[in-house]
Amino acid sequence: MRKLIFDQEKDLDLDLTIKELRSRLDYMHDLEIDDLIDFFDKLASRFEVKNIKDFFSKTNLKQRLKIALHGNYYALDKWVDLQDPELLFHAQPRGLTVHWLAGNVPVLGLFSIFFALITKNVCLVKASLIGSEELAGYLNKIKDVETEKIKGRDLAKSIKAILINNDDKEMHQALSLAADVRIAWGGREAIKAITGLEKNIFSQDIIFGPKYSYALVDNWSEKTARKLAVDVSVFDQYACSSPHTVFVKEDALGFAKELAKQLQTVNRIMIPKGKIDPAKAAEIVSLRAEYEIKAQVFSSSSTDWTVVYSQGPGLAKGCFSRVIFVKPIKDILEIKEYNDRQKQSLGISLENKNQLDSITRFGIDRCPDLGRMTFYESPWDGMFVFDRLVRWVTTYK
Amino acid sequence: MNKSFLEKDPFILVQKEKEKLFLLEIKEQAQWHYDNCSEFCKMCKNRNFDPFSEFKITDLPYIPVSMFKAFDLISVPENEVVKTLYSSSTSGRPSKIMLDKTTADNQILVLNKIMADFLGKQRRPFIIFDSEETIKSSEGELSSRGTAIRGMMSLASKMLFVLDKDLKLDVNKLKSALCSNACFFGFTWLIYNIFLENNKEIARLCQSFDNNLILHIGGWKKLKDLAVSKQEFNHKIGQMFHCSRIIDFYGMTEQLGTVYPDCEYGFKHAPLYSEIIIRDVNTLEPVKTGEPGFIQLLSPLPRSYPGISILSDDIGKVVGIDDCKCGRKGKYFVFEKRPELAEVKGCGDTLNI
Repeated sequence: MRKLIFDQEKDLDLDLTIKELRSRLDYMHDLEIDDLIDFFDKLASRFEVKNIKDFFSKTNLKQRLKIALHGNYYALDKWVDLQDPELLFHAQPRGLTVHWLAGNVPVLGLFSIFFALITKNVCLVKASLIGSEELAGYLNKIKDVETEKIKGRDLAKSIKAILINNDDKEMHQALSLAADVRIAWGGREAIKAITGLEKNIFSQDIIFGPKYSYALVDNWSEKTARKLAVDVSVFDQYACSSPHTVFVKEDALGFAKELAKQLQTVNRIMIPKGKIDPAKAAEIVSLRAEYEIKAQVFSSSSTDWTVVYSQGPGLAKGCFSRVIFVKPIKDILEIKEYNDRQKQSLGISLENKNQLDSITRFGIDRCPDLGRMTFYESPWDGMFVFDRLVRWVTTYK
Repeated sequence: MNKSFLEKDPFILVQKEKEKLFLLEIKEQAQWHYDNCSEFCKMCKNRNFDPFSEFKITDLPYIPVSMFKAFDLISVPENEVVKTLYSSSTSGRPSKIMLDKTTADNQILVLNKIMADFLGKQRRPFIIFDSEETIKSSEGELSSRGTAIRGMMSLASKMLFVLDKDLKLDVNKLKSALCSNACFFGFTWLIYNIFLENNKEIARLCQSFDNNLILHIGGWKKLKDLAVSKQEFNHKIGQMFHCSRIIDFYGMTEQLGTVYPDCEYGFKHAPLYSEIIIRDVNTLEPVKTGEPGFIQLLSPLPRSYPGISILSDDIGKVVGIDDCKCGRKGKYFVFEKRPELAEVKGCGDTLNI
């Protein structure tokens, strides 16, 4: 399978596709950042996904760009003064960004594509077969947006999305060699395969690899449990920022029971769970039975959600599909030993944050409040992605 | 367990009559396991189920089949265990099933009654496509293949093994074993392997014999890896053995004895001694006739381990009740597939933590 699925649908001619994309670099370079911000603000308003809507809103995007680009995002348009006594700075686009997307949460891939466009790069997107139609649907929204300065139909020509088989080594190698930036979302095997490809020695790698997230609660209320229930329910825990375990300092068993109530409410009112595949359902049923014997289980009568209260040590293996382990903890510093570079988000509900420095020393890239765990933020996975997508150029004042 | 229950014919009662008898038997066994197996008791309590109060068959908690892999579940003192069985385990650790004499005897009794209903009461010579080594137990432990073959012993006038230790066909043994009115028996994948290696030779040898039948069990997952459908299997194997009656039977190591052979119309029948419930994959509620879902099998036979209500991860559907053209009463069903888990391949792939 070698197919182009966006911005046209036809058989893939990779050389031609790359050539067409590179020919768009001048167009992208000449766009002004304020116009791009306006465009993405309008585009985001057409998304129902809160994550996209919020992040690319004009106010938020300006703030994120400013912080990521050292205080002045106009560096994307011109030479700017960043308070260096001698130097002026300009952020040039890196060029052709190649994105290998994962199928778990198609919307997450949009972040890297939009980031690349905002920093005036062009995008060659290797879509995942799972979710490829959803992705094409999202990208097609770009064509329908028009602002005073940017026509979506024109901007869309700077993105090409393709489908190729995962074992098509020749094509993957060609993509890798063509990339000025390689952006990879995926599980361990996918990331290993992509980073193992030969690449241009000057290209930049941005890896959104397999990550584990969990939560930490000291004192809690019904609201705390409600917020965590939302984090568990959004994306059915298939995002890397979704929690699989929560450590609770005070009355963990009571919290488990409250969390069960809140998961039921969230499922009924806010985020109804869709159908799941039989193998996942069988896994959930087995897990429940196992912990009915070893611990305590609170669950829906269906496979919708499951809370396991377990006093066993450590982080629980992610089952996904709204299965969360609640574990008691005496001292919140105990979790420090679980943190390495594989741990991404630690959702918190803490009276004070004094110990977070110590907790995050060897791992954990973000400590969002509960209810915001799956919100996309900048930085992500410990990186200011906007910054990684540009090439800084200096000259003397 | 009421002996007269086990002595009744397996397929003569209509569903309503069967359910009355079945509920009495399963209730008694549920109470036994509740009192004698702490794990079963915990599961019942967690699901607010009390076997001493009134309940419907669908209320009885199910134990996922995987629990027999994760725990040593037992409802009798260990010194009463006469045999320990292990499932074939296509994935990871096998199920471990501990049998006392009562359970083992009852399982053999019902196996005979069910199989006699399909094969007739007259015993046939069984030509076993396996090695004789397979049925030798080691310190009271037996593999699922060995258990299945041993289960056939009482149905056979004699048993002739035609594979060597390496599971290769011994042509001379086959030649001397062949006769008319025989039953070829073996595991599905093993028979197919023999087909791949010895198809022409066996076909030539079998041509002059009539009225034979093929009984095969288990291992569809291995065949799926070879991309062989049930229809293709039946066609090829039927031609090789020169016979048209091919019976695939479904069963679980976790509920030995109650087996489900295909009737002449291709359906599997729940006998008096077991019941089938199909549960929706998402809601886990029982579904209507014709709708697919997880196969839950209930049987009052297991006494030494709490295997009276098992939820398999196989998908099947009940096709009808009391009205199969073959004349057998009760529910009849088909096995559809064993689902495979689509792995999480994204950034949410949490690896081993």
